Amino acid sequence: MATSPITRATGRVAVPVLGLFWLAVTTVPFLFMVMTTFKTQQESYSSSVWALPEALDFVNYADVLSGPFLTYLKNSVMVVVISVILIVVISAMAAYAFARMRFRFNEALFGLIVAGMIVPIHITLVPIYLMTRHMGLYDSPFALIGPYVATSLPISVFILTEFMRQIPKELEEAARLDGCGPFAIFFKVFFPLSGPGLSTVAIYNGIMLWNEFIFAYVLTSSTSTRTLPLAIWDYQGQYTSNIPAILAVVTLTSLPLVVAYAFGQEKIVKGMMAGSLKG
Amino acid sequence: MTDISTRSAGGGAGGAGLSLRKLAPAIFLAPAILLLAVYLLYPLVESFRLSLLDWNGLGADARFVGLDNWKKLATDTLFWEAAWNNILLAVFSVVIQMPIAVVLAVVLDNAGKGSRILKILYFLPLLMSSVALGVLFKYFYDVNFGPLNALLDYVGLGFLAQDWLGDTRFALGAVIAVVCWQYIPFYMVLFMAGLASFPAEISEAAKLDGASEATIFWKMKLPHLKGTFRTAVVLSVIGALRYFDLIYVMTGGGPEGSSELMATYMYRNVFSSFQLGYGSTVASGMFIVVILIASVLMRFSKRYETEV
Amino acid sequence: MTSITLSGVNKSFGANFPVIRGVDLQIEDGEFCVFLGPSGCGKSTLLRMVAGLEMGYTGEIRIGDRVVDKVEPADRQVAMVFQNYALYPHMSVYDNMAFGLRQAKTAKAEIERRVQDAARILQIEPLLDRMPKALSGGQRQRVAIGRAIVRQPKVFLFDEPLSNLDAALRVHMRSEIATLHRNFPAASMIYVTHDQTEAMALADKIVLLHAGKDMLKHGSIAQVGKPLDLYHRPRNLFVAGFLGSPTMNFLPGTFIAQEAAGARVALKGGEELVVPVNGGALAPGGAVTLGVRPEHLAPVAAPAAQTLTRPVTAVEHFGEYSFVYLDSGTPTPMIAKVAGDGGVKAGDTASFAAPIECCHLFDGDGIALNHLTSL
Ligand SMILES: Nc1ncnc2c1ncn2[C@@H]1O[C@H](COP(=O)(O)OP(=O)(O)OP(=O)(O)O)[C@@H](O)[C@H]1O
Ligand SMILES: [Mg+2]
Repeated sequence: MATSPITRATGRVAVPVLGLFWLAVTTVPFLFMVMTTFKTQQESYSSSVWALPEALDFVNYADVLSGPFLTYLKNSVMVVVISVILIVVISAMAAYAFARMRFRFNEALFGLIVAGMIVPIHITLVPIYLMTRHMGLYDSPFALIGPYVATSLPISVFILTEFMRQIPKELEEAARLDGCGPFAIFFKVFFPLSGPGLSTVAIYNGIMLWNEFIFAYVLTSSTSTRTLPLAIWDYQGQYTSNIPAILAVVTLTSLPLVVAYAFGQEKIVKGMMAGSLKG
Repeated sequence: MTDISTRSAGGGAGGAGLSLRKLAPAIFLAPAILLLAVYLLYPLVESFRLSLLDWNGLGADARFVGLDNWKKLATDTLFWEAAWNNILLAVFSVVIQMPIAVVLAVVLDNAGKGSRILKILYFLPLLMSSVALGVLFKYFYDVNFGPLNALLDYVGLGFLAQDWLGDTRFALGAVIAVVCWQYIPFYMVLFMAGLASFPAEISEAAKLDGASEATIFWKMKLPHLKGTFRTAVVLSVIGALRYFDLIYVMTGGGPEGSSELMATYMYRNVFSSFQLGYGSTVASGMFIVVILIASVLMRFSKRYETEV
Repeated sequence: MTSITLSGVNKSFGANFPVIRGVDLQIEDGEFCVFLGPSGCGKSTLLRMVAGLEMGYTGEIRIGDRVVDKVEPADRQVAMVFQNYALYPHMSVYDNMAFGLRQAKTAKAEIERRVQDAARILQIEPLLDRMPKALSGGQRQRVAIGRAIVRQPKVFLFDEPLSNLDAALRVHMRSEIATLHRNFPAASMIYVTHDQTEAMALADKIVLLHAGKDMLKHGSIAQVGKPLDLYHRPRNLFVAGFLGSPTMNFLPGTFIAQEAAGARVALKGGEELVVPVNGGALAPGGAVTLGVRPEHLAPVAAPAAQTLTRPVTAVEHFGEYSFVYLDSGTPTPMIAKVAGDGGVKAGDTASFAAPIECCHLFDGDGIALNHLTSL
């Protein structure tokens, strides 16, 4: 009632205008990307950037897929799946200890691990590089798993500890009366009950690691061992000035996440926001 | 009753159970602590040790040089310019992203049915890897074939067209723009959550008291977002101080170091100039800078919190 | 053989936060024992100590003739029903009940038989495939009890099992728990509540616990006994005031002399009453407190011996009975519970008989003086 008609009218105009404006800002780069992938190299130089491609030509995609692209994909899937499984199990175990067990230094240790969230991973790069060479893991996709799991642990432990603190103490006590030791309580009660927390952790880390660049860049060097973010990098070196082909690689590497996103937007948005909504 | 009594027939069954219970925390924490020790704590310490060496990383000719590298770092203008660029990135991230994110959050808060689909689309850039974005925007900014200059031309602003990434005046700004483009939706969702937690009864009560929508927004909802702002600033500053991928892909720190960040500078020292010792000094210096700024920031935001 | 014995039991949280002090208690085979007391007095803590969920106490707890101080909860042959039910949300009703038996590696057929039996007793057979979140509060409560039954424990432990239910359901479930007790005569039960009606209705034995300063001074246990013992023969002011609703009227007075019928006491207004207790140890002129329950005050036409006459300040009508508030010169008004509308209104002066056998007398320390006749 006190809202003046003018404010309401501005609102009615401003909301869609601003909403659509940002939509344009978001989508224009993607439009450019996808459109260009259907152009030939020749076309990308000669025609106007914003001109539609002459034909819906998948030749660039075919070109990329005929190369080692699938090897990169396979490596990515393998590294990310193994890492995420390890992250979920290991951080859930630690979180259970922090959330539910009484032992000396519980809080101190938790604080220390959580503080690991702000450590810039770059400081670990050289030592891990040297260590990896030393262990004979250099240039193997498996070299990535250790650093991936370790650097993901602080935030994952933090999220899951917060989550498990919400699980009623009585459930644990009921389980103890039902004859469960600490391990049975964890695996039969806490782990299954942490489903939403676990999926948040899995989604967040899955996306982060799927896109991880620097460790992969430093610890692997051959086409046969590298992951998808490096596919872009390597193709960029190889195709140099074939913009449509390079953008086809970019499109293809982004596709898996976009497809996953199409199926579970809410969950993925929530997962990506993990750790920021609390604390 | 069979099961229970047979189990307890063991009499001192408590003994084994209790000691297992004592050991349980250690067992549950062992994998996490082991991994963190090997891949986080050890490298951290090792990096400081390497910072005392002069070493190209290959042979056994590592030479202990004490604090020489640190002295060099203290007067290394390239490093401090890089650190300054990190700070610029942090400041502009906050100054540009926060207001736009709040505006978008408010827009979506009022967008009714369209808000879900808009949110989903806005969020898309966050799924992209920095490498993908770096490469995409490298072409987007391209002087000759890039759509940005073409677009400026098309709307009659052709005189504004630039060599965005090749010009020392624009390179850092151009990258900051991409960072903002990618992360604004993140903070928008954060602020949306903040707005959603604003109790509806309060705005209803205020409306009954004759407050306008604008008053409710400025006097009530915005102050309500204070905590969210704090979180957002901490996240975005810490993120900016550690930034690497996008800059590395788009400019490599150039031209002429104009977009150099601490992390790219470290990378160049180690993997291009093969100065492992000095590179580790840069990394350790970066670590100190990040920890210092982060702890000051958190201390400050905590004090702020108690005042509220 | 499933008696429960606590001897010299003390428990503190941290170095200087005692919660349980000097508890010596014997709960007999098959007895229904209720721990009653104000919030925070340590009822749950004491129960959880029996369950084995709370360790680090001093003293000794025995179940049957076994000392259980170092025995794991699962091996104590106890089953517990929690206030919030604590059903495993990710398991069906059947699995919730079977979980403990599976952990104990009971044979499949045996599990099936016991779960079906319990489900029949509790009338939850149609619910066995449901998940806990698809159950009402009362149904969850039954499942929680079912989970306890299938383990065939020697001791059932209940921690305020009814407090999450609405009033009507609470009365209904209360009678079901009484039935349960009849169906398992061999098992002892310990039941925690802060609701005195529940305690009076269910208990063979009530253990009333002190909180705070009283606990530090007198130990945790205020009084142990049959419900009516506590009602008719409270040992001190705390017990007298805790049981009964509205609470017992306490009138300050002075001891005059011991007579054959009991102790003669003068109240503030000058009235003199005789209380059938042994006041031999009291000094004439010593301060005492006279106690009389609102429901024992009977309206009379005029002041007489053994009556109390006071101005009426307010009357609350409940149809079947009324509360008459009387100005007694003390901060808390005196209350009389009378049948019907009481026949008086605010502003009147009314007289009430305080039948001699219904009066209690407490010495200067708040300890009840012994009655001349036992119950
Ligand atoms: N784990 C604990 N750590 C510290 N103090 C505790 C703990 N558990 C209980 N207490 C304290 O011990 C006292 C007794 O608690 P308890 O839960 O036994 O009370 P209660 O009689 O069951 O009360 P209520 O009727 O409210 O359930 C309380 O003051 C409580 O705050
Ligand atoms: Mg309790």
